[in-house]
Amino acid sequence: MANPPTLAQLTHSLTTQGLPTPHPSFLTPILTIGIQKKTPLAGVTATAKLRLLCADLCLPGILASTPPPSVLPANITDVKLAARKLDRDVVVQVLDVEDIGKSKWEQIELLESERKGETVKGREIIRVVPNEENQQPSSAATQSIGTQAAGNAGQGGKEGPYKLLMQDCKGNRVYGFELTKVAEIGYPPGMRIGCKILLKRGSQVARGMVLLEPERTVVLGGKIEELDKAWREGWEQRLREQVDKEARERRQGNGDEDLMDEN
Amino acid sequence: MPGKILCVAEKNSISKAVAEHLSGGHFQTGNTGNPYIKNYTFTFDFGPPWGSCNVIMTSVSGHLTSTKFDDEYERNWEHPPPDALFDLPVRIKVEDDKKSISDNIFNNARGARALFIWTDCDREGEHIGGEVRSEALRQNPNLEVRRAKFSNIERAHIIHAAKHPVNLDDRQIRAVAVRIELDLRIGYAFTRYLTNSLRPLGGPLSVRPDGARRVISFGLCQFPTLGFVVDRYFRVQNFKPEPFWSIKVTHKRDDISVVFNWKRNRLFDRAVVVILFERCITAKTAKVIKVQEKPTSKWKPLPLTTVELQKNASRFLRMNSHEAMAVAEGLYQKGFISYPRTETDRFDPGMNLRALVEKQTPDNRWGGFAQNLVNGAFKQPRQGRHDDKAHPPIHPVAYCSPANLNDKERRVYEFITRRFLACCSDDAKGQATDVDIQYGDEFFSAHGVVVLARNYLDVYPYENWTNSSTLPKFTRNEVFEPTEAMMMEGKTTGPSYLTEPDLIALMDANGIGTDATMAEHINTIKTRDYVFTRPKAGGGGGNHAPEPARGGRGGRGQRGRSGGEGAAARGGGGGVEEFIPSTLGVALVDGYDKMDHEISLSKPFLRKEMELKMKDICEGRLAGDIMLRESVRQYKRVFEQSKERLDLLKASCRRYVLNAGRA
Repeated sequence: MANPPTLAQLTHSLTTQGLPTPHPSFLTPILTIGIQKKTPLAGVTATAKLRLLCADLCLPGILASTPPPSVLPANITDVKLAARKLDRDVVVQVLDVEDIGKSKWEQIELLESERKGETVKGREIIRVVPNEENQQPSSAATQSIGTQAAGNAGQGGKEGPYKLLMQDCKGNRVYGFELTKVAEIGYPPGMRIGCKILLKRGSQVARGMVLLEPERTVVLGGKIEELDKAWREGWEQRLREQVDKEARERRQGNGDEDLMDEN
Repeated sequence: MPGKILCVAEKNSISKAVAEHLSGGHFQTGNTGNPYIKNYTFTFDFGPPWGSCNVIMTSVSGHLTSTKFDDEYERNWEHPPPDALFDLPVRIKVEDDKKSISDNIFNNARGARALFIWTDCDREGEHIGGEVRSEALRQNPNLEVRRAKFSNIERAHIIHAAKHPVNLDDRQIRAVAVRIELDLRIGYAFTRYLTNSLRPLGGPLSVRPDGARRVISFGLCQFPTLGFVVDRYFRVQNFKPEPFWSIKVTHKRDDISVVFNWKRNRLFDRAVVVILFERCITAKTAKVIKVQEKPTSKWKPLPLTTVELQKNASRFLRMNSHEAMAVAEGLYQKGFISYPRTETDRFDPGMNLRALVEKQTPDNRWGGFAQNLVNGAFKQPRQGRHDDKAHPPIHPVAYCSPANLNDKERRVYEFITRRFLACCSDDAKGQATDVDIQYGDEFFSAHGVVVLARNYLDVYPYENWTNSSTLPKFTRNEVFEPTEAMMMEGKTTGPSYLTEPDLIALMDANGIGTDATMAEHINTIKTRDYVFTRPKAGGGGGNHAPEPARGGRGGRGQRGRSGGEGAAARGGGGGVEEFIPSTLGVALVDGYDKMDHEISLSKPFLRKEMELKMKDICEGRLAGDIMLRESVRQYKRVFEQSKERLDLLKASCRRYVLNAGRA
């Protein structure tokens, strides 16, 4: 039997996986229990990794202060910079996610029918797809309306790109979106809120937004339970409020000729 | 000594048409106790074992019997309490207005060797055949009963059917009997309960605009049908438009302006699109990453089903589904087209379609096209996935010159014939070109089609290959500077109100009604003032006047099989109508949805289940009694819940009907 793992070994095996260096006080209890139970290094590392991915990196005592953890450059959100690249690796956690390929209203309707149990398989509730397509006088198209619509409702059709709000361990926030599809990015429960992402050195940043690409975006996984729960519970409501708010703002922008709609 | 055979069709027009074919035009016409029904007598050689026989050909007029409660329960809506209607005995009896018809069958069964049933070959027709059989056997228990299987009124087909009879299908008869009983019990119980409970709220819930007392009917098909209309109404009302942005790249070459569409189509975040657009502009040049040319075709339509006929009728023939079916029914009775109520979208490979095509060659509109098919361009139609095993797709069975048809008949016959010829010709052929480019980080593509052979499109003006355009030459890996790149802004548009084709498609996909009854259910929710229709384009009119009520029918979904019914559903017929629920329709659906039944009555699930069970009965997997018991139990439970939560329904009625939308 090998010697029990040391703090240095554990730290090393975590950081080689792209994780930031945890605080010794975060690792010590995990290590102690591991040694008591005679868990090998790989097992202890796995436990520590899982705990770290499910922790809020901004809380004290999670990440080590020496070496100082890597954070986003101070002027990362500067919209005047048309194109730059990250000069370091940074681990961030996801605070919000939005599918910007679909209207909010479409997303609301999908959530609603899911809530009502209408998209359950085997029950053929049909939504006839938007007008333009139906009105095409092709009978080939009209005869398959049923199946088409049902298929779309089930899978939500094409997905993304997703826009993320991310935060480093000092609480600095930045938006990013998928320049190209990153497989692990999506709505909860696929990707949970609080999920940790490693933005690698060389990641492109344009006008204050990170351009996410699979080559330089490593989705480490994890979540922050409370944030994730609150996000999911408030999802539909939030979308509705945003839609209402945008509609109101547009009306104000247009003058008040539309005010009658309010009733 | 020749025997006597009694033949009974579903309606007089069919009886007469069959008599003409079998007798070769030599028959005698006798009166019956019913002014619309005649007895045609002639001789016909049925072949072995019957040989040459004297024939009396007559008909019924739709269903011969009614399923009813005893008179005391029929009359009084207060007593017994409506839920007792789930269990009270029902009786099958001949109503007074059908008495003369049943007497005619009874009398003519005397001395007959056999009874041949000539009712329509579908589930409902089978049941009517069963009713005729019962009546005839009462007089003559030794009668041999056979069934003629036919799907159009064309001469050779009819003679073949007469010589090759089959047996009545008792499973189908049973399935329909179960459905009728369930419709009666459920329809009566809910209709009485709703009417009794809601009338006291007063106003329009108590009396109709024409002064008659309000009846708030409930039917297993009409309610989900109404549910679809209301559901869409709310989706239209609640819709909120949202802005979106996209990038459009145009390049001019060889005097052709080529539009490259963004692969992302559109995004709902302005900042993101600005960034992506800027990166395109910064890149200056675009690179062609793929050029693909391939043959393409636009598929010819599938063989015609009832539902497709109805949908296309509102779209292209300026008549609603109800009218279109009445017209088609007439064309069928005259022997010009096959039976118009069918779910089948595939032709039996054994059918001689070329012969049918050849019959159309005399026409001066599509005769040349038909001749060309006969001369060798004929192609076997596509095979759809539906087969009701009873009827072929709708097709012309005989040529009819336009001079012999009225305007509506002409349009329907033309559509059916053109559709059939289109099915028997080749797909339209073309050459498609796709050019994909990368510009900045983004991908765009242009699509072009050159139509090489129009084929079926030449005879089928209801379709066109619209997105056909030619692309100039592009080569893979070529780099060019696009003429123009633009960031565009747009706004999402909401759904529009349901049109009749939409509604039929929804009913079809969700198993509400059959191809034979959908138009009826739609008509019912109109006559009940649950919905009204208006011409789609332009909000002109928009008055909330309900349709004039049509003949008083019972509160249950009866099949409208009355002799020659005039189908003047809506005059002025023009284009597609859209459906808008009345305040009453909204209140009923909203109220029932709020009651939160395990399975909502305004949703299609319960009805679909019933339809599947009927199929099980027809295919021998389920006994009728079991279905009856299970369904009664299920609906009783729903009924009990409705009683407990009646306040919710009342609240919806007050809100929408009495207080104009305010809670």
